[in-house]
Amino acid sequence: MDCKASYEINPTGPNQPVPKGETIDAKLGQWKGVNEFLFKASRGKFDHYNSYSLVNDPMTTCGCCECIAAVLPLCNGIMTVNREYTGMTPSGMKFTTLAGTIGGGISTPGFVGHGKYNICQRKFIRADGGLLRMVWMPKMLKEEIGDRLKARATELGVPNLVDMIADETVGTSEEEIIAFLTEKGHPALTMPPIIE
Amino acid sequence: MALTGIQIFKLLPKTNCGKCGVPTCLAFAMNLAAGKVELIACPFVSEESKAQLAEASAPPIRPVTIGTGTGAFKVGGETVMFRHEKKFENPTGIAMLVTDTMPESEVAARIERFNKNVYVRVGVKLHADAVAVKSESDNAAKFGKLVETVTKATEGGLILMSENPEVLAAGLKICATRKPLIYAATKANAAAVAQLAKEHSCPVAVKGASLEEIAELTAVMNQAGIKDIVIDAGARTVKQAFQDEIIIRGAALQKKFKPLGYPTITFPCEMTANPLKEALIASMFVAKYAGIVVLSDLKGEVLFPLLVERLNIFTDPQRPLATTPGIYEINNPNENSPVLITTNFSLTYFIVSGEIETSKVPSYLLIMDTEGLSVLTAWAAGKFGADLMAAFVKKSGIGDKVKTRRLIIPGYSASESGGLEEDLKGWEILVGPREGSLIPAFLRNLKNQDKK
Ligand code: SF4
Repeated sequence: MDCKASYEINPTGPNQPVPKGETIDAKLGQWKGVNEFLFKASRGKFDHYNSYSLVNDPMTTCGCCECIAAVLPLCNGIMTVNREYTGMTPSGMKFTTLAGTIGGGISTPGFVGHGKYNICQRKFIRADGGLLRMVWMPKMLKEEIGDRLKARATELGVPNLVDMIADETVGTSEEEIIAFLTEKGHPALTMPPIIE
Repeated sequence: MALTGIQIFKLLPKTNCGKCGVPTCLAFAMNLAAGKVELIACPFVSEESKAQLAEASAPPIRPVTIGTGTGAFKVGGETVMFRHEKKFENPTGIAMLVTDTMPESEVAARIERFNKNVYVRVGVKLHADAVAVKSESDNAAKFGKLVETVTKATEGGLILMSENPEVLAAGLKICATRKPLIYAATKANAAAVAQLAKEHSCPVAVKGASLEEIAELTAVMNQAGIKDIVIDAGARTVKQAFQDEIIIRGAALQKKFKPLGYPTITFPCEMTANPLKEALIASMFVAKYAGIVVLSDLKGEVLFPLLVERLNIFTDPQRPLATTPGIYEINNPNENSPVLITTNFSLTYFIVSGEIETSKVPSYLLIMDTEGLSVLTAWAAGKFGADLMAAFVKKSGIGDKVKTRRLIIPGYSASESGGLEEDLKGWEILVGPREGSLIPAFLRNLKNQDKK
């Protein structure tokens, strides 16, 4: 809605309709029209990106995203951190450091900026295994989106997923949380390797 | 090709031991990918990974160091086409020409200018980098003598110019330990010059008639085991030389074309006889993309603007220029002199110190570390508030230098004066002017009032 309105007010402004065109990769989320648009808008710097992946050529953000997700290789999963959480995260980087890897036209494999509600969408990093990969997020974020999180987890057949996701009270290093994940039997641990 | 953080991560030990200064291998990999740290910071990388990473992270344009000790300067190592993309790394080397057919007095005068024309601006020392010693007589003995004169007279970098290997050898015999740039290897003398460069382990310039020829020559040098190469694309018309610069930088960065991945040397001194035009041409090459510019002479009026231009172009656009924090004495202050305080943004320091100087009023200027932010910006970022200022004044040791307890703060920091009076007991806080240009009047006024 916002984008449509913005486009109507300013047809040459930052919000532009992008025709999806032919699907190139349904799993990763890549379309011909989108790629063409990207190539033009980035003045040839990028020719493709994947909407549904954080590991493979993820999208960039303007830098003002609510959350940043990062791959946690030892846990075979991902974490996400919201802007309001200023502490250390298991990735070894705080939000501000992470922000430098995903914003302003930089596409960094293993990292992606997103909104809070994105986490509970069906297409959230679908190509990498989706929400079941989520092994850590700050407690406040877990509480804020708790109901939606639970609903989506139930849909995925793991209704108690929320309780398996570690937060800062469990630890802020991969070593600390991996013990927790093992104890809880987090599904990410038995999924295919997140980075080959 | 540059590796992504994830690709680098795969080559790291994945133990998250934290020895490298960040908590995880992933964070380290990200820093490595961004070029913020060096691989040696991790003590546990396997030799195999090291080799792979070194190969992948080798800069697309090789950094080359010319000279030794205080006279050394580095060129190349560039990673972007445009400064705003990241920053330009190594400032263009500025060189001055002397030849062995010049009268001795002229050589001496030029070298004196080279040594004397040193300027300090915004806390940075600006000067030319190298003397290009050219053989015009093609006489080895004569060249050797000139090289000796120059080597003794200056600590700057050296460029030895001749296409005759014997002449070059005569020069190298004298100054090889100073790591001069050997100029130049051409198609005709490549083998002999390569031999010289290897023997003395000095950087070497290759000169070709076309970019194709250059690419062949750098490959020949590489095969001979020479890595420190500088390119002269040969053109002596401004248009062609400029075009070559663009093509070389583009080929190295965008096409990752290794044979052209070296810094360049350009010769404005051979493009015109008019000193003004020569300076203009040089200024263009400083911006785009010469590693070294060789000028015929370095008179102050030519050199200074070039140095300032270079300073501007090679600063990091993402980081404000900062001055070293501390106490600055201006106009020989004594224990009764006023104390002023401001931030360490270089421009702020530059203007404020300049105005205090103009006022002729002996003063102390306290420069506080605000991470290079100017007064209002630092204040807005919470880096120039009363509490921090008070702590800094106490720690600076200014209290031992002056008997007066009077601190002048920038006009834009007026809102902090109340807080400062609280935090800095015993000090009188005066709000100075908002504009630097009003400082002289302010200080003189203060002095007159005190007299009364
Ligand atoms: S020192 Fe090496 S092994 Fe240890 S955390 Fe850093 S990158 Fe990983």
